[in-house]
Order: sequence, then structure tokens, then C-alpha cells
Amino acid sequence: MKNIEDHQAYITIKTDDYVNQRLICFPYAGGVPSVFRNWSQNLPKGVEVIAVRLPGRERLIKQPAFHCWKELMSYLITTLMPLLDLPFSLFGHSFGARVAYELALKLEQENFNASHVFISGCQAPDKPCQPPFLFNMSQEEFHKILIEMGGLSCEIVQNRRLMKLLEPTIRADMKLAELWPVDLQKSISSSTVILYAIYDSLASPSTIYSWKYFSKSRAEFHKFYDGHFFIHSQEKKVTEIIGGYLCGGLKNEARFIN
Amino acid sequence: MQTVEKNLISIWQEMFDTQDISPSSDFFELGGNSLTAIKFLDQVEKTYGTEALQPDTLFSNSQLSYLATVIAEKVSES
Repeated sequence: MKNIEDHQAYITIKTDDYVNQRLICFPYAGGVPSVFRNWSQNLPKGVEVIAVRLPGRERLIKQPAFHCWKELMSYLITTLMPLLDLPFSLFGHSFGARVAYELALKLEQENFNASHVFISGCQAPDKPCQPPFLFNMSQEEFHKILIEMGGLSCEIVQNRRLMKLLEPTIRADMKLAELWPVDLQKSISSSTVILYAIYDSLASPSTIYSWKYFSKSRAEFHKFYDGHFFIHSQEKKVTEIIGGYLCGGLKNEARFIN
Repeated sequence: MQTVEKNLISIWQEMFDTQDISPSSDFFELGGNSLTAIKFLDQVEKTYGTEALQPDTLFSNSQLSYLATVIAEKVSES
């Protein structure tokens, strides 16, 4: 990955020398910055893509993953504050979307307003996950579901030594996502863009539409004909849509849910 | 240690399909991920044994020269 700078807690994917805004990206549960490794290719000039690496993975493998939302938010605000000297937007997929939303709320309280908040593959706050939860499933069931969801290849899941390393972090992220203690009275002021896939069993369309109640601006919806990991399979379209907003334009395909 | 380093360089050259590998090369920066980590760890195990390199070592510091040092130490211990 040339031209990529590794800052431990995040990776900077530069597009060019003249940066006028940042896009800070949060991957799905257990995810790592390389999820976004190609994103500089499809986004407009001047956009610097920041891919966050939470504790408990890659070179931060020896630091335990966060189990507490409050601590995670404190950590992110401290860690990402130096990046907020320019206009910024937040992107998150699934668990990452919850992180992006919570962070946007917290930052607003400190008078840092994201230009756009992109919520991808994530149920609306008023559609909480129901038990049985994934995060505390038996190892056998958990591994089966990971493979079924398509987030991790069979080869990885069946590798005991690697899973011993990766599994606690995946479970920790999922626990945060599934036990998300959302405040239904709150909403973000930023331009809010919702990306969702119609075959996404973790965030099906019926769980998406009420995102409009959690944004003070008019939330815009973009539909994908795919499953939960459309962030990968539809990477080009995802980044084109995001790029459209970062350019200041409104994508024609956006729907408003009334 | 130098032979370990040379050996790792040639493994990574093949794995990442590039000649541009040096002792300062970093596994994840080259595009390594969990899948390639498995392949790499398997190759290290075949050549140097099961205890030569643990996954968490690879993950926490993935620079080639460091990994070569770790493996060389394990090899000289046994």
C-alpha cells in the first residue's frame, strides 16, 4: 500500500498534496483499515481518507478492544482531535456506523460538526438488536455465522491460532454494536446519508428508514442490490456516492423517505 | 539472522508479487491481511517450526527485520 502512512491508531490514505477536507472511516466489527485501502482512487481531489484502526487489531493487537461506549468515545475524541482542524465527514459500516453516529453526536457537543455523516449497513437507532446475540454465542455457532455472513473467509475462521487472536476483538466490537445504549431523544445536525442493501440480513430495509428521525437535516437514502458487505462488492458505487457529497453535489439517486 | 532475513525477503517477494522487499518492509503496509498472514505463518512454521513466530508477534510489529530477529532467536534457542 504505497503512499499510505500508518499512524498506529489510524492510516492516512492521501489523494494529493492539497488536502481541504477529511473523510474519517470506521470499518465493521473486527474490521481493519485495509477495508478502505482503495478509497483514495474514487474520491475527489483534496479529500484525505483516514481509516481508523481501533485497539485490539493489527499493530494494536496487544491493546484490548473496547467494551465500553463511553471509553471508546473518549479515546476516539482524543485520538482524532488533531484531524479536526479541517472540514471533516464520518463514514461507518455496520458497527462502524454506530461509532460514526455516536462520535458525530459527541463532537457536536464540543462544537465540532461533521460536514456529512455516512451511515452504511446499519439499523436505525430505534431498531435495536434482539437476542439471541452474536457476541456471546458458542464458538461453534459464532464461527458458523461468521462464515455465513461472508465477513471472514473459511480459511481464517478455521485457523485456531489466528482466531484466538482475532475472535476476542470481533466479539468485543459486536457486543458494543448489539448492546448499543442509544439515546432516542438525540439526533445529529450534519447532512446525513444512509447507504443500505436490500438483501442485508443484519440491516434490512425495514430497519433503515427511521434513520430520518435521528438527523435534524433531511436524511438521504441510497439503495444497493446486494448483501451486508456491499461496502466491498459495490465499492466503486459506494465511493462515487460519497464523492458526490464531498464535492458539494447532491446525487440524483438519493431518496427522501417521507 | 541474515539467512532468515534473506529467506523472509524471498517469501514476501513471491507472496506480494514484487521484488521491492527490504528488511524495513512492513507486512501490512505491503497489503498483508489475515489470509496472507495464515499463508506466511504456515511457511514460517514449515521452515522454522511451530514456535518460531506467533500470530500476535506478526500483528504487533510486522517489519521484516524484526520478524527475522524473532525467528532467529527462537531457532537458536532450540
